[in-house]
Amino acid sequence: MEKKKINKRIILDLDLCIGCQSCVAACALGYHEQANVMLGRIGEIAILPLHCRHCEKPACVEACPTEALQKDEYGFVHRSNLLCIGCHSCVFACPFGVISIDLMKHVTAKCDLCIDRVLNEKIPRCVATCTSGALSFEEITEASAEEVWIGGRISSRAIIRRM
Amino acid sequence: MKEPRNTICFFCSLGCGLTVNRGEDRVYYQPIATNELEYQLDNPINRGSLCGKCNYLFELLHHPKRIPGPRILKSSGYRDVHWENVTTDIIEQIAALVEKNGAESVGIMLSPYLTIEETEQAIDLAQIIGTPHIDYCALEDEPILAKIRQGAFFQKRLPSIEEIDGMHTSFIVGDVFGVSPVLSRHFLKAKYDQRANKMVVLESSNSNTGWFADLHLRANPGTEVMVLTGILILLLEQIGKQQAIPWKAAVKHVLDSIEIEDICKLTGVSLDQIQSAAGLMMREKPSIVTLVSGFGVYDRADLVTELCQALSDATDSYFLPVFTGANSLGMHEAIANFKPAAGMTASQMIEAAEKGSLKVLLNFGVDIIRTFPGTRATNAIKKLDFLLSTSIFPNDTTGFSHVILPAAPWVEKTGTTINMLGNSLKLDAVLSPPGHIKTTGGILSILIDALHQKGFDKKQIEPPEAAAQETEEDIANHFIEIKDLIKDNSAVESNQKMLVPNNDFSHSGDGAITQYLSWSQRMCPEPIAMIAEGENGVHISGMVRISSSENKITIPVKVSRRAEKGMIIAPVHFPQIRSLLQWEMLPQWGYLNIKPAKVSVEFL
Repeated sequence: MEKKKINKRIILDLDLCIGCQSCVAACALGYHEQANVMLGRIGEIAILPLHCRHCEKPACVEACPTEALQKDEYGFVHRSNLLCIGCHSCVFACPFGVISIDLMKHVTAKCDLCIDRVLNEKIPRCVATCTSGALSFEEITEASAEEVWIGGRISSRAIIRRM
Repeated sequence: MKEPRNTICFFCSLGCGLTVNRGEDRVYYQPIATNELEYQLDNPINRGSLCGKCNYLFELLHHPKRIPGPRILKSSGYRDVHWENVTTDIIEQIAALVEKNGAESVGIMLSPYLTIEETEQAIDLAQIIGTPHIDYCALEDEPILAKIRQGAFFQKRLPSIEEIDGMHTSFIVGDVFGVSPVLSRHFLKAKYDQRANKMVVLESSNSNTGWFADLHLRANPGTEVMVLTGILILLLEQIGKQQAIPWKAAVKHVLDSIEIEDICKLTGVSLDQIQSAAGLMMREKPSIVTLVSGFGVYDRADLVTELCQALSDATDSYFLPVFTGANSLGMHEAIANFKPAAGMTASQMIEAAEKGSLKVLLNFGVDIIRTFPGTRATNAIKKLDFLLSTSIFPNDTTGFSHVILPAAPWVEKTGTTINMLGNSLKLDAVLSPPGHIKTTGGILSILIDALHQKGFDKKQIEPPEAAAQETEEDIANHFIEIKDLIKDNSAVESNQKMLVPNNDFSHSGDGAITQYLSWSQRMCPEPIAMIAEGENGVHISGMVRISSSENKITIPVKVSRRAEKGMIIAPVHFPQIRSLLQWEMLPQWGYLNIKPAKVSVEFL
């Protein structure tokens, strides 16, 4: 089967998130107690679910010393459990702060956009379960989302929007 | 081969749809490998959304703490027994006690998370024993349901949950996003899609619902009745010229004698805010009035319900009550149609047990000690001659029970339920109960069969008189009560604070189950109170001793923007917090009025 690049990404609508953490629960359940979505709380006012953007030129992949993190044929950044040595380089490298440290398992959790579901034409777990409709899974193109450049080398599309 | 099964979530009264791709059950605790949750993206109620608790429902199967089989209290402690032996034992004890004290000394208490079929079976059991005392135990929903059943106002029911998306004014009383997070999908869709939409929220604990409000009426805790009265006074003044409201003449002279300035002073809500709320309800149609039940949130939940209904009747809005108990509505109807006037409510049963007139309590799924505020329930059930408890997990009440029977949670049973909209929904067993565990329906039929064999026959219990609908005169009397409330309201003294109970996303709903989910334990492992910065010189977290007239507890406290001066917010699902709440019995209704407590706070 030919592997086709998937341009769909998780889009977060900041105006809709009520902070119910159901995205975190769905992710943790699907990934054996390691949630890949984190919930940032800013001064008890704003709530910001943090999820992987699957960058065009990912810094985490470049920082990884063992090739545990790879950008695959679908365009997703995914991690191989067996190659990860738990050095946390990717945690520090990620400019968006979406990779969490899970000391118990000695490796780092990493969002793979629920590739098992996406390849079967389903949407990722966190998007499906979102109670308020803040998360959506949409095709992003040059026209729909502007590019974010950090340090002149990392590029990803802006996947946070407001109404 | 995985077999997809559809069912509905039973943690709150909304009834979200979900699918389980069921694999073969295994004997060890590895639920995710064999079963997979699938989201119903085309379900009209939730469009696939599920809250955090529901995502974790597989943990219920083979949970290490589940009660595995029947247990009976012997002099040496609890002993595991077989179903046949325990049934004989129960029936003998019930028969002996009925013979000694009469059938009236038996009470049956049901959890609001049973299905309609199970409720009907429990009613059969009551008829066979010959007792009129049967009730469901949802203390926060009871006053609202009683009022909805008897109220004199016209109730415009919401035809479907998606109707909320098109509302121009959403008037919400209570923390709706906390109790039923999935409803946020519809309220927020209305807020952003309908450009004219305004969300008016009346609640004091400054929850997430309040944060999204366009107009947030932050009333002092327990003064919701007064704010609603203020809005109604202004509304009736404006409406009077345009349309006729049948009950207006009866209440006008009472409302005229209430000073709106007094209301503003007592509630802490400004006249401007009350005016804007009344104006929005008046002008922006279609509109909806949503009342969210809450434990210890309102002083006089029955009057709050009555005022919300009056508001929706006067403005021709939809009325949506949001219950905590998943099947409170269905069970209330079923029991009210059976129960004669002599039948006691759940609160009255506890009172009777305290006095010693109730000797036997058959408790299907209620953690009585955790549910009742204060320490009265503990003393009451210690006095019982025989207490039977069915439960999924061990709890405080099972610790005092003579017989403990293992029950299955909602994912493991089939039946019908009625959700907050009044629609009947079908529950389907997506997993099968492990080992010796039976559903409550199964347990009830075993008991009924055994009683038949023992010679008990179904007795005809006098059916209830047709429930008297309230008249305009009753409404006027209730408004006089409100007027008196405003008159006698005693202010909080300077060294006191109000304890405001709040809901936690991860625990709201069926606390008996959710407290055991690892998700809920991780999200909110211990009760932490919230207090405003700078109060009593507090700037960082620490320990605090809170004492009310009911109890005294020591818990950690953190400084939060959510709390305001004179207020201490704490999560209500913890029994420690519930033990602080103040309550009084309302004799005319037979339920408890549980209200925010006045507490004194001492920093350690």
